[in-house]
Formats: sequence, C-alpha cells, structure tokens
Amino acid sequence: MKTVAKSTPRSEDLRVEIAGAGLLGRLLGWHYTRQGAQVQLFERASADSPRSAAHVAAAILAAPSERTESDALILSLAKKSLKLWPNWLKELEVPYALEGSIITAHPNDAALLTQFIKVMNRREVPGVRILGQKELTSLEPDLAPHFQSGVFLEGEGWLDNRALLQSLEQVCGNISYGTPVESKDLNGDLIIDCRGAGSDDPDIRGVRGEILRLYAPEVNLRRPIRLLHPKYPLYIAPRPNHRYVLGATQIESEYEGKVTVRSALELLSTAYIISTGFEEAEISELSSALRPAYPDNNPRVYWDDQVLRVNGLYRCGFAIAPAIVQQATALVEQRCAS
Amino acid sequence: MLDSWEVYDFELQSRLFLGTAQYPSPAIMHEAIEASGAQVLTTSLRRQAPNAGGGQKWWQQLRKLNSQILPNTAGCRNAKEAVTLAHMARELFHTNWIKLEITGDDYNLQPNILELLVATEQLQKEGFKVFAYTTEDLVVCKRLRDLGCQVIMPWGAPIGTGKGLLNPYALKTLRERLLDVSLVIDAGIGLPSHVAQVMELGFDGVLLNTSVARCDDPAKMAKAMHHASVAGRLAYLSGAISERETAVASTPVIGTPFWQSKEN
Repeated sequence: MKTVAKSTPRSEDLRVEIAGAGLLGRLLGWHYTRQGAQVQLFERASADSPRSAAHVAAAILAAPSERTESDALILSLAKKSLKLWPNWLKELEVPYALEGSIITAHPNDAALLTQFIKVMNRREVPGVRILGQKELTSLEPDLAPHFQSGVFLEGEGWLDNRALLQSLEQVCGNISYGTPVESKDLNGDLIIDCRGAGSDDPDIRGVRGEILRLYAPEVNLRRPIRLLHPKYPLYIAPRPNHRYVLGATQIESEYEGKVTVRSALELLSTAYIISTGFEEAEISELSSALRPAYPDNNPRVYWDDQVLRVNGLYRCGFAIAPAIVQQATALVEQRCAS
Repeated sequence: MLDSWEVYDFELQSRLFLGTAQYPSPAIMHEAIEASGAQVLTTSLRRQAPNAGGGQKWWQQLRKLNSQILPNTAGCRNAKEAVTLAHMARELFHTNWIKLEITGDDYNLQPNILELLVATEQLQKEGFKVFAYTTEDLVVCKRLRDLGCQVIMPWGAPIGTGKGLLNPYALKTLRERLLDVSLVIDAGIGLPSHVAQVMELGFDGVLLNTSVARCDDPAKMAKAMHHASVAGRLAYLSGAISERETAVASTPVIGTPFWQSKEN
C-alpha cells in the first residue's frame, strides 16, 4: 500500500479516502480536492436521511460563551476558527452572521446568569458586556420583556449548517452514501477517519442532542440567544427567512430514536419564553443526533498508524471545525515532510 | 480516621454520596469523585432510554469507577413509574439498591411523599433496598422506617438551590427520633460549611451533586466537601460543648499574680 508518508499530498494522483461525510469529512475533502487530490468519502447514512451531528446542529459560532462549559482549548480553537470562517463561507456562498450573541435566563433562573458571569470573570474571558432590560430589547426588540438582564458577547454568531453541507457536497469529492466502512477497509494514500459517534474508537461516546426547527414569520431575531437552563444551555439560532433552530438537549445516551415528548416540551417552552411571537410558529422539524465526545469533551486529531483520526468535536463542532481542519492538514504535511 | 458505617450491610468509610450529573466532562467528574473519596455514586436513567440501552456506554464508564452505584428514579412522577424504573435499574446495574425520587412539584422539585410511601412499600416487598428521598417530615420518615426502609434521605433544601439546611430544627428532631436508620441529607447543599453542619448534627451522610458539578473547579470543591464531612463527623464524635449566654474564661482570673497581668 502506498502511504502518505511516501507521497506528497499535493500530487494530482493522490487518493484521499475519508470515512464519514459529516462536517469534518466534507471540509477535509474540500481541502484536498482544492489541492488537486482524488477524494472519496464514505457515509453510512443514505443521502435522503442524514444522521450526522452537523446536519442537526444549531451551528452557533460561539467562542467566549462556551468557556463556561468547556476548557481553554475550545476557546482558543474557536477564536482561530472565527477568523477563518468568513472567507470560507463567502467562497461557499453560505448564509452566516457574526453580530454577537446574547446570553440570558428566565427570571426564575436568575442565579444561573449570576453564576455564568462569575465563571466568565474567574476565567478571565474578555468582552463580557452585561446588559439591562432596555439594552436587551434595543438589540433584539422581539425578545420577551420579562428578561431583566443578559450578557452580550461580541463576534459570536451563526451559520446555515444545511446550506454549508449542501455547498460542500459539490466541492468535497465523491460521496458514497449508504456505505458504512471501517478505516481498515480503506486503502487511499491518505486515510482519514472522522466518523463522529459512529467511530470504532473505544474512547468515543455519543451524547444525544435533540432540536426543533421553527418557521416564525412574526419573529425577527438576528442573533443566537442562549437561555441558561438548570440542565443544559438551550439556544435559539436564526436562519434566513424567519426560520430558527432551537436546541439542544444534552443526554448521556446513545439512543438514536426520535425526539421524546419531554424534550419537545422543554424546547418548545424555551421558544415561548424567548419570544411570545413563537406562539403561532410552525414546527417544521424535530430531530436528534449524537455528538461525538471523548472523556474530557475535547477534540482529538492524531495518527492511528496509517489512519488520521479526527473526532470528538462534541457540542462545538461548527465553532471549532476550521481550526481542527488546519490541525489535521498540518499533521499530514508534517508526516510528508519527515 | 473516621469511623466506618453501614448502609444495608455494606460498609462505607466515606460519608459523602456523589451525583453524576452536570459535570463539564466525564474526565472532570472522575477527578471530582476521586477527590471526594465518595464510595457511592448515584445516577439517573429515566431520560437515557434504558429500554433501548441508550445509556449503556455511560453506565459502563460508571461501573469502571469501582464505586457502589445507586441508581435513582429522578424524573418519575408517580409510584408506578418509579417501580418500573427500579426494575430496569436492577437489571442494568445488578443491584437491588434504588434511590426513590418521585417529583411532586415542578417548581421546587419537592418529593411526592404520598407516592413515595406507595412505591417504598411495594419495592421493599420485592426485595429492593430503598433509599428514600423525602422531605423533613417526621411522620413520613417514621412511616418509611416502619416499611423497612433503612436509609432515609431528607432534603436540606430544594435540589440545586445551594441554600443549605432550611429547617435545622426539624432535621435535628429527625436525628433525635430516628436512631435506628441511616439518615443522609440529600439536596440543597451549596458549601462545605453546610456539609459540616449536617455532620455535626449527627447525620450519617450527605449526598451532593450540583454544588460540586457546577462550581468552577469541581475537583477542588469535592476535596473541600470531603474535609468538611470529616471535620463535621469528628466534631459530632467529640461531644461538642453546649452553647451558653455568658462568657467563661478559660483561665481563671482570681489568683493570677498581678505581674503576669502586667506583662499581658
């Protein structure tokens, strides 16, 4: 077998085989396609029923706000990624916005907001701007008036995950859908395994997340709103044309069944709390997927013999993917150079 | 060294039980468990689709920690749901221990004691070893004991509030009146000083979750809670002095030579 160590990744006859056509698989496929390689992706799901976390995600481009949930590594990866996304998204013609995000809590959970601010200060996260009710409603007039205070984080935003996946599909190489593979079955010059929660890596676990999608012509929210919740932070992320993604539950379970009644109730009441304009919104979708996570909930990019494994992006996939792609391609270059 | 104690004939050295929810990551949870010295870990299973084996990987990880697993029925609203879940928990964890937790109110997550008594009676008959999460009501706790429940877990304050003991008077009474069961304070703890207070009152143990999992440095807080439990237990065993209104000098003043007073 010819391995990448003996060839150069820029050569036109380089064959790259990628297990998993989620966000990372497609981004890496795009990278090597642009370099002139022959890229083949293998995806276990069929084209019409995607199962990747990326398909379901709210796709928040969060950096500082994730600092309360994750460690400093995620923040530095997210900062790097926020610099890379705009050019990538423009090139791929994907809708996105980086107008900041708002973190708030229902008056009954005001203590959660106090704790959020306390942890951000303790961890010395810059750019935390505390907002009163008037500032909140001037930024987002459709936000319900019961929110007394919140936090504004500059530079955060959202992207349209499905538009991105679709756009990448045209440029990332050939995707074989409905084709589950193990990395040992592959024999490209460069083999990349980014199968997410479907990986055979024994350290990977799936963490169930459930979302709903709404069409709400009465609501005009420009920024992602994170509602602090006693169990897990819930987000509402805007999409073009009054569409919204609301997510996500966070359950230590690999169950891949449909959204439960309890989760749907939690998500729907979150929408209603954020803006009463959601009262007459249409529920266009309820979906679930598994986020891949390692025990420390941080991502890993490493060589497993001849296979480059990239996995464990957990709840920050979109926020940190560009930096992870850079790490992965740098590892390949390093091996080529040595 | 602390005295050991027993729950349902199982000997324990640590006085802390730890919950396994809401940590920033499993790795941080492991550090916190280690730092706390807790030998009993409680885990929920209702939301993990236990029928479909959804939480298998998570539970496997917990089993590897060599701790005693205490499955709980958090999320259940009546006796029937709790009994069904207890059966599932017994199969999944190969244990007849069950922490019965039946929610009666959505706002303060107050336990539904009426359903709790029904479920306890049934599960005791079926050979389960029930750890009953309840309020500080003496009559309910006595009834739980009469049903054969050997571990009763009154709340200190509503779950996750971190308020400490809201009703120390009733909890003291419970301890004084129920000497033949293990009493473990469950819920409402925020600080090590609360843990120390619980142990000073003579309670057998404390269950913690939010105060450790959601603080900024869970392992550090777990260690602090451990020390507090040791301090409180030792204080209880030491036979503390009683409070009084007037001062008592530790050194008698009468007879103290005047030149000593001068030097001081």
